[in-house]
Amino acid sequence: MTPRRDHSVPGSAQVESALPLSPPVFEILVSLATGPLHGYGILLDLRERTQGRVRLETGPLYRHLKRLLEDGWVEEADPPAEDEGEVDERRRYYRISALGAAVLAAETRRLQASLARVREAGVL
Amino acid sequence: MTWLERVGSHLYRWVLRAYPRSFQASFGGEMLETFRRELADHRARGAFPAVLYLLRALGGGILLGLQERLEGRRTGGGGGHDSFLRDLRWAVRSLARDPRFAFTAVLALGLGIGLTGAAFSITWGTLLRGLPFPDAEELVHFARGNEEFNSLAVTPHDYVAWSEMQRSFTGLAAYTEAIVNLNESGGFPARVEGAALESGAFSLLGVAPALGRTLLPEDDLPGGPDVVVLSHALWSGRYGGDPGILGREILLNDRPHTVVGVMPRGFGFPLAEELWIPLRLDLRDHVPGTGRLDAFGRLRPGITLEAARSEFQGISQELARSRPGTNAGIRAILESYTREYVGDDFASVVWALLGGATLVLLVACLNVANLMLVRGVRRAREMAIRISLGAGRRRLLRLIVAEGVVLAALAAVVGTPLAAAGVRWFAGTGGEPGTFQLAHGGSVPFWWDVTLDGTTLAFILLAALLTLLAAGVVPALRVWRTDPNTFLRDQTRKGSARTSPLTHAVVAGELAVALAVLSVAGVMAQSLLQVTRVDQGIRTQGITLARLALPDARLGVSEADFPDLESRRLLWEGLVTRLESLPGVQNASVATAVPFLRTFREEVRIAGRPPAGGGEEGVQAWFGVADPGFFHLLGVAALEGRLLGPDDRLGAEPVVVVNRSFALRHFPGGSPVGESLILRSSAGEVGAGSSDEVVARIVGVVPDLAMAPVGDEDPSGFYRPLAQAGRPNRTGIFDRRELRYAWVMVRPAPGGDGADALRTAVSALAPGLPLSGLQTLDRAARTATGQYRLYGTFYLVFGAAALFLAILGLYGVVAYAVGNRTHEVGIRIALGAGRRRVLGTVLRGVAGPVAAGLGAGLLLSLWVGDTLELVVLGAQAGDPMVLAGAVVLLALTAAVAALVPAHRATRIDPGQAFRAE
Repeated sequence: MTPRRDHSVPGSAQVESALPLSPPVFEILVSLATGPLHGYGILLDLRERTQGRVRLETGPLYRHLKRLLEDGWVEEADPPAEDEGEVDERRRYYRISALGAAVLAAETRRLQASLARVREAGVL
Repeated sequence: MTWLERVGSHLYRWVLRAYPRSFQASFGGEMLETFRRELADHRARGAFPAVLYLLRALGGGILLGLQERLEGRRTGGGGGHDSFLRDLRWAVRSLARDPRFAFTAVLALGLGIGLTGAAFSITWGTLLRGLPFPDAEELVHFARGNEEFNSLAVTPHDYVAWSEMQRSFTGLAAYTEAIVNLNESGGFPARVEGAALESGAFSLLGVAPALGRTLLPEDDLPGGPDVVVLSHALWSGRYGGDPGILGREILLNDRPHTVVGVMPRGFGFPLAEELWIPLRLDLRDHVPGTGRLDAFGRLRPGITLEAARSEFQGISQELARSRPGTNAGIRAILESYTREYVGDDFASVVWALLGGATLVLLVACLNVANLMLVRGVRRAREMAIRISLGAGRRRLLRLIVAEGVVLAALAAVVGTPLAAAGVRWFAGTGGEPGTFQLAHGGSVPFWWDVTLDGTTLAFILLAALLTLLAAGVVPALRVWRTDPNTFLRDQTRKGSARTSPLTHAVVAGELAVALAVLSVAGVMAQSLLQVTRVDQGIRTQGITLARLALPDARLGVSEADFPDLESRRLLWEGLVTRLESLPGVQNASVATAVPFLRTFREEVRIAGRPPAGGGEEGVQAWFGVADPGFFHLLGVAALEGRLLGPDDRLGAEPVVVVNRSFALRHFPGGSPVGESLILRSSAGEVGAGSSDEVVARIVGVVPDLAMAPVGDEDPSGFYRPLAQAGRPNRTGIFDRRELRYAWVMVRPAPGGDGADALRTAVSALAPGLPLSGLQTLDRAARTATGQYRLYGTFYLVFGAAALFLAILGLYGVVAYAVGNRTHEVGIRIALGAGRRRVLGTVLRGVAGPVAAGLGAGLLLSLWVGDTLELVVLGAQAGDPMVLAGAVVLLALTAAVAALVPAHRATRIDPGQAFRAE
């Protein structure tokens, strides 16, 4: 097993080194930032939010989830209250961790900065 | 859960095993669940997207799983691919060091997957893809059957009764062909095949128009508006894609119809039609037991075809009881829509193609497996050393997998253009209407789409990868299992590695499968030769022909110009006179049955013979009407008696000429000349009676002029003189009796243009009438034999590929065995063994597997011949001559493949052999 890293204090250097995020990872984090979701829920949210422009399939999704769990950017969550009636052990819920949220915020800042530079250059 | 989802889940569960166990434990259940939901989502959008998704998910799942395994632990950062890329680089380097192996493996595998890819595209595009409508598998076609036939048309009275009684379908809709002369003010006439159908047909199909609307229930009422819906091709071709077409009036058989809609691209229901008009079914127009309709329905969700069949069995029995006069012994025949139209004959041929290609792929796989085994043995030493030096076994396995991935990718690169070429060729030849004799004629079904698409490419890649992994794992396991030290010690002591029994078994298997493919290819080659002989004796060169159809009162058209049989006869004869008076024309003729183009069978009785079976039945024979110039134009002389002549006119004695097959079949050993045929009206029509019978004397025998489709088992037929044809005072069902259509043929003078002459003559004598099917007789001949040339050529390619692969495999093994025995052979030669003796020793080493392979191959050939139910012409599967030929050919090539490296062994210089150690 990978030695568990201590994720409680997200150092900014640690966060910066993870950037830029690949598009699927970015989108998964955005989906989870809205609340806990199960795997299929992430795919549905993605399809709806991006109108099918970002396509992710089952296999790649779980590979990313595994990485994200290992890195501590995402953690398992309790099912939301409305789903508690039909608990299905095959269906796990995921939510974004503090570290994940920090990474997402850093990535968003990076993208904003890039956008600003493009605008300043008068390209857009 | 649907069938697709059940099978899909099963496969996906299997694919999940590609992932590391820990990954499976954490995510397996969830992934399966998510996969199921995704599959259901895609299924809701149609069968095609669902299958595509399934293939993507399965292929992707295997690759990702393996990648996950290879990477083992995560290396951190975003670059998870790094270590796999490193493996790939290593694999490329390792293959580059052994280019002969890489080249052979890629070539063999590329050949196999290229052929399989082409065959799979054809199977997918013609048989599996189905109609491009939602839940298209629910569409069912209806016909009627009695004791004798399974494909009688549906009568309007039965159709209405069925619609009212049935519960299995959400609805039924009737349709029938409507071949019309299309024109518009200021336009040029064209002959267009369309369909008259009930307005409900469109919603049952689940198809919406691209422009405007489809037919409405009010269009269907008697006296409703004359409206027409156009196909996309007709709209964009003839009307230039004009969006203002809606509301415009066009002429169908001279009668104005308003265009109300345009269908989407590719829609051609029921088969390859170009326009649609209301059917306006009215039972008062039809006497019970008569009339010809087609019908289809859409099954209610959850009802199977079997359940619907058993419901209709009950309905048929009830109708037989309540309407014994018309319905005794009549059954309803229900068949899946696409299967009905494509037919089992074509399907069995396509499956045979896929089967043949798969066998070639199997030979290729065995070949590559063998190469890898041989190479694996050679590399076992290298691997054992690596292991003893501390390389992890996991790492070695990863390298083998990486090598497989690289080879598969290269093989796909070789195979894809090959598959594309096969697909292009099929689409080119098979896209020609008339090439395939499908259940409902020669038109190309509108839902066929033979292209090299993502599904096929996914299939190809998956096939290649699985092969290589299977072939790569065996040698890897050998290394895995043995203790490296023991392995190295054994190797040193033995001095040389023997060819393993497994290698011999693989060679034998390869030869066996190759023999099976070769024997089928041999049968196909025979059939191909037969086909090329078909057109002998007919002078097709230079003849141009086209079909002319006269207006038809049944479609509500004025037939003022050609109201009766006599006026039509005069037109046909006038056309020939006019054509022959044109300067560019040598001679001309009019006939309803021209060589290689579809005609009909007619029932006749032979005078003075008791009908077969004691009933009223006569014999079925191909039938045509021909003018006196017909045989002359084709350069045909009578084999016996005389040809039809200018004196065979109405009022003179009715005569016919029969073809050679008719004479041989019905007058074996004797001459038919002087005998008589009784031409009858067809059964079941109103007004049919003995007064309609014509007794015609047989005056001559002519060669078989390709009246029957190529390959038909009974090509017997006969011709009546144009001047005596027709049956006055009767409303015929078939146009041919009434001389409503015929083929007009011209042989142009040198420098003349046949097509021009035809247009000139027709526009002078029958202005406003369209010519259709304008072509040369040469082209018609090519098209008619097209399907046999297509299958034959495919199989010849399969045979050649199998033979080539077998040679490669055998050569590789013998060369390797010789290479390993350099030392031993050197000693033998040094001790004075003759070259011959050495040669014998080497050859004896492979004689066993070759003999075993050929023996097994013979059995396999017989089994394959039986199973594939080949559509062959003039040849039989399992023909002993063909089998013997294939065995000899394979044995000879095997001998050569073994002799070349064996011969090299005898040239070994003993001194060098020792130094090599």
